[in-house]
Amino acid sequence: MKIWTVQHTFNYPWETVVQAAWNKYPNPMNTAVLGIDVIDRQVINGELHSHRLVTTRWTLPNWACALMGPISTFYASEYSKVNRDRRQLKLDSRNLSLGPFVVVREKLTYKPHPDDPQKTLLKQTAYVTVEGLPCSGYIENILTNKISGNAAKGRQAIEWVIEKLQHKQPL
Amino acid sequence: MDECKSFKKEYDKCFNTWFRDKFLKGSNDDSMCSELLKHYTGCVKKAMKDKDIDIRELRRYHTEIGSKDE
Repeated sequence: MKIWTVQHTFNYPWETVVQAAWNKYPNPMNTAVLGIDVIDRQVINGELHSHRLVTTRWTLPNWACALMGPISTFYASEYSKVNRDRRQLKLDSRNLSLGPFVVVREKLTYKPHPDDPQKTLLKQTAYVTVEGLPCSGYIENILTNKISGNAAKGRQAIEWVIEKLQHKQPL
Repeated sequence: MDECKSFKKEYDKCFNTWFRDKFLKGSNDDSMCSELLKHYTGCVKKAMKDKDIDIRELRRYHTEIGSKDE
């Protein structure tokens, strides 16, 4: 298993970042994500629980094509909880497609920056496990690099949505 | 899901308002968008079924974060 982690500070309060996070897709920075759909959403004990399905489209490297055929649409499941009293948004996602050989799990937490409550700290960790395939370690590295690149695009997308929200453009 | 786009658009608009003006301000009442959510998730669940995506299996992926008292 490979573990990759990153922290990022947004120069906006938590409430602004969280509203932008809901409206992150589609965006021009990361066109691999086609969209996110809600499967279930409810307030439980004052926390907002959301279960969503993420639809992505990838250009696959040759080794993956050989394994899976020419499939290009992949799904992931994402579960999130918003605790407004603690000002915390936690997300947990994992891939549906590619299993059981490949498991990509991502955990994200958005909370106020400990040194400046007007800023928001994002902690993101990805766990990539490839099993039962030749060159598992090599494939784990390729996927981890891909996740790291996409994470940067995801942060840019949030900034992009915040700009739009602040200029009151329709999302 | 392409087939649910119009439901999603209507619901997301309602949700964004509810989240900003109600939930973040302390309200737990989520009835404001519940009808739109029902139509939208109904469409998504049907589309998932057509694509052989098992919702119950998906729910099991998130036992840790999904628990009510975590």
